[in-house]
Amino acid sequence: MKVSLAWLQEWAGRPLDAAALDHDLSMAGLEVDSCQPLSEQPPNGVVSAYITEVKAHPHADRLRVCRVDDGGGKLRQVVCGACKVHVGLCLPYARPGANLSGRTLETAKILGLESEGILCSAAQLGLDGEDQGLPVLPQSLGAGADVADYLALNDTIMEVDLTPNRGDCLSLLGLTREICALHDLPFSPVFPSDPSARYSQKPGVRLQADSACPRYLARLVRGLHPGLETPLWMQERLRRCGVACVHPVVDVMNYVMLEWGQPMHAFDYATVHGDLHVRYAAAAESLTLLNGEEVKLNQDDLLIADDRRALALAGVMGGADSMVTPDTREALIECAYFTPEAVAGRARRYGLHTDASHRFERGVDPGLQATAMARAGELLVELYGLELGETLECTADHHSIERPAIKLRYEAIPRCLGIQIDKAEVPVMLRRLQCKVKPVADGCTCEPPSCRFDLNEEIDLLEEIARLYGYDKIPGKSLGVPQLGRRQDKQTRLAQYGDYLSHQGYSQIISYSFVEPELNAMLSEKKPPPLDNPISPAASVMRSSLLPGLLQTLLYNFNHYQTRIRLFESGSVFFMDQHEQVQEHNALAAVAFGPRYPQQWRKQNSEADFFFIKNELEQLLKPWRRHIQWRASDHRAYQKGQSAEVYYADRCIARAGRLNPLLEEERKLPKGVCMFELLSPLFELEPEPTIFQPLSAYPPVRRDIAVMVDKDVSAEQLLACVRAAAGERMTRVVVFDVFLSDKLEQGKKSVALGLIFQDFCRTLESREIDQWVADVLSALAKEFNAQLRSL
Amino acid sequence: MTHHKQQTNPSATRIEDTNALVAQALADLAGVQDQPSLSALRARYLGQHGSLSKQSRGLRNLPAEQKPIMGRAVHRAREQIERAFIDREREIHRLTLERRLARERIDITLPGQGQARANLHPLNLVMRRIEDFFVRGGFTVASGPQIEDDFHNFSALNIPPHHPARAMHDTFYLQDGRLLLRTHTTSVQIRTLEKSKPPLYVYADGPVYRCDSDMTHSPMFHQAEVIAVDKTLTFAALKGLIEDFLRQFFAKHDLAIRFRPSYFPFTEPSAEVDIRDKAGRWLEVAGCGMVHPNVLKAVEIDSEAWRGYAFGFGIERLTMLRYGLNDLRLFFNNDLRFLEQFAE
Repeated sequence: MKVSLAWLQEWAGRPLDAAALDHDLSMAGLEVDSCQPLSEQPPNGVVSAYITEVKAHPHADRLRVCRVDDGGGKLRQVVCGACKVHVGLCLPYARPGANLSGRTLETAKILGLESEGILCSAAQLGLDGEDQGLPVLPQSLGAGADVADYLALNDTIMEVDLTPNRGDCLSLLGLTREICALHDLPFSPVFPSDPSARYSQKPGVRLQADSACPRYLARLVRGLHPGLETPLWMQERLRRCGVACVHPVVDVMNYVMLEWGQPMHAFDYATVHGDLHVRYAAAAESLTLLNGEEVKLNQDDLLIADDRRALALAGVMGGADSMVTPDTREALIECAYFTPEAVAGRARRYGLHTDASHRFERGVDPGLQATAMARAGELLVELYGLELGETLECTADHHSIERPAIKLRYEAIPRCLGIQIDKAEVPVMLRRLQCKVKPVADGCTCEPPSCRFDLNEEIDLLEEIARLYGYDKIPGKSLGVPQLGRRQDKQTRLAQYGDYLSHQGYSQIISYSFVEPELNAMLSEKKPPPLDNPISPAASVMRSSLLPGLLQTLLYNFNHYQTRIRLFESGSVFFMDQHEQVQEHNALAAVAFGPRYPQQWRKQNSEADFFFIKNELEQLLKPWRRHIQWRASDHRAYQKGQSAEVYYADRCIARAGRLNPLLEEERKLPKGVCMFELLSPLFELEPEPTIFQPLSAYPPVRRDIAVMVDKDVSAEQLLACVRAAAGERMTRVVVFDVFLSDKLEQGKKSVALGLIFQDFCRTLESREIDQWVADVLSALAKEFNAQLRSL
Repeated sequence: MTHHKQQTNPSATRIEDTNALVAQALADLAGVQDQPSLSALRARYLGQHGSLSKQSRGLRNLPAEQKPIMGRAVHRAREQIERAFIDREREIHRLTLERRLARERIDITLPGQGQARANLHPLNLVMRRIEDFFVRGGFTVASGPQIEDDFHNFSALNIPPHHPARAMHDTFYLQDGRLLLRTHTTSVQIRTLEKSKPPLYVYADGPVYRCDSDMTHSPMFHQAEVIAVDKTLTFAALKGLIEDFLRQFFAKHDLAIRFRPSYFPFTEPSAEVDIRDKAGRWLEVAGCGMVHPNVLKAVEIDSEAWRGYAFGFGIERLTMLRYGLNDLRLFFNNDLRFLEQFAE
């Protein structure tokens, strides 16, 4: 809420220091967003002056030569550019010697004629940034009055960012109440006197939804005409509080709202047919609002209607065809209490946010309507000389402005806040908040004022006490937690994988969880949950794989001249299961592109390929190495023939391989991207416990063999055969070369294996090893038609 | 003893010869630069047919009374020469090694070889730093789903439908509004309170979502959340915890911190926490408060017997302050030139 400090001072009845108020309000929970002077250099020496003569400038059509009376006894000649100047107007006049925007005025010659100072535009006074027109001052001001004083040009505009619980502070009244409470000052607002009716006519009102609108005041006012004008000071106050001027009567409604916090509305009474009905919308009803938009109403929208149709969306916005216009002759003023429940959410539903809905949603004081109506009447009579009809008051039987008393136990103060406050002090503090306090055994009961919707139970009062006591005075007590902290295994494991990968050269990324559906579908077989209200079509589903974000980031970096890219991400993935239920899993994935090592001198540096990425995964999965199976994969994200899935006890725990070349083409990704994904079943696996293997004291013996087999025979098949044939003395077998060449027989490859033998009880003898190697060779020959090649 | 002229055998050992031999050997040794020359010289002096052996044999031709005297002299000469050979050999070895090392000298200013490590994402680094603090402080790490329902994200947190506080959360919805993307990690509070019995001390962090995207807002960002429920928790204890945390996080024991009253539907009393930066401005870094009794009631915890405190903060803000970053978008562009700076 924007508020003029000068106006607020008037309410508080004392000068307020902007900086101190900024601090005090912020520290009391009313965050001051900004505190700006109205103008950096307020004008000085500008006075009111009457125009006594206007003549054309002899040398310029658009200039006028005026004589002005500034009360100094001598008429002054002023040249001005405004063509609307006429005799009798009272205007702001800056004499020679006056200060405008930091510049001292002197008598100047304008096209040959002397001008003793200037007439000031709104912009020059620092009122409205763009308005070049001359602001007309009221005749009653008299000549020679200080305009800076009259218009409070030395003002500060404060923007208070109120939290939604403090609707009671959305007015000068409310802020004043709060300031008085904080500074322990007497709070005594000046209440208006209700002007008497000049005619007896009253509109008819029927409360058909009295739990949503338990109180409705309406009053007619007549004598409106197009010549009415909102006084300058009121325009200024409205503008400084961020409210636009609309119509003299509406401006008064808004002015009263700013003063008292009670939103009001004015209807053109000529457009109202019969009685007013406060009711819920009927099925398929619609209403054109005064912003010109037609809304299709819902049946829980509260309306003001007449006998024929809806007139206004209650507490939100009036309708277009019942609004007051310059032609309105008689208006109906509405001043009602709509409950927060009746208004909350209705404005947002139609994309609206109005000063009225903002206040009603947060709670308007239910005891305020008569006061606000009186204040509006007072202003309408005083400012415009309008005639008021009688006020009609409709009040639901159940309506009460009394708030239930809350019990506060004094012992709760140290227990919750950790501070000791003198028991005698507590009722005093609560009374500062305009609560009615009665002492009871071990505490007090407290009836909050009707405006404080946020005070309902003991904890609310405890907060108020903490606020008034001052959060900064509460001593911080150091941590004393009586237990041990723990991490979840899953989180620890993800963190370890992250450490491993980052040490292997993979940069961790964090990408948006919502991705482009097409890309996601190319990379994941799972159905991603779509968002109802995405920020863009390219971010409209929740990712069911981490690959879309990784590949997009890879592409981004590739396009930024990176030639070697390693990325990983760990985070949640989302999908719809077979029962259309949303599922959320942990996942980790990595992509690699470019040489195995960063460019360096002397090093052989081949491109990352399947075996490179497979090794990364093998290292990560080492705790389960004994029971892992690699199976060829035909997953859509990967290149068929160069990708694999990792199984552990028939559960697919990971995938690795090269990116599907179709995707590279379609998404203009660089060629040769490798990647792997850790899938959610992995995170459920317990690591296999380590079982100690005794160490042999006898030397190992290695024998190398090379065999020629069909290309299609897999390493896994060969090794299984070797292990079965070699006997238990063979402790390890390694593949140390695979050789494919034109020089070999068509369709064949040569595989070199190292067989390592060792015994726990003795040194092995050469001839027994020869025998085992021979056994291996014959098994290989039998199973794969393998031929021994000489090494 | 009387000396008289005596006829001596010309092949008998003479003391002058022995001394000359030692001098010659030492001179020869000094000129030897390598192992083969040394071996040859050793044969010449100390070998079976070497000069010293000749001297020993010459002892036989001495008169009996001179034999022991000259015998000792020759023995000393042998010892002296042998020691000189050992010293010289050591010296030659040292010189040889030095020559080899000189040949093997490399340019140690060339860069090292092998894999280059990369880094965790700065947001993650910060989350870990925070998590470490709280785990050491006795908090247990929890997590909750990012796709949430209304109950856990709003209703249970004392934010009923149409509550104005909801307008502050621009929410992403799924499945016709049946589900939503959590707008704060506070939803984890409820998940935790449902599962666990007090006393409990819980920390959670992770991504949250609001459909708002511009220079200073990202539709996805990160929060961390701390909640404790116990019998003796007070606002003063909460204040102390946050002060300890912030001073540790920024490694500044005299960090100026202030608590400003504020409003969150799920805590009361509530406060915003500000820290003062170098320029003397107050920056908002966290929100906190005593868990609202209605929140405890929503998860069926006796709000009379138990009290809770909670606080939450934006990871991006803390990360930007820690590293002096000024642009939120850097976090989600994942530019390697950015990511590679965070080697910690």
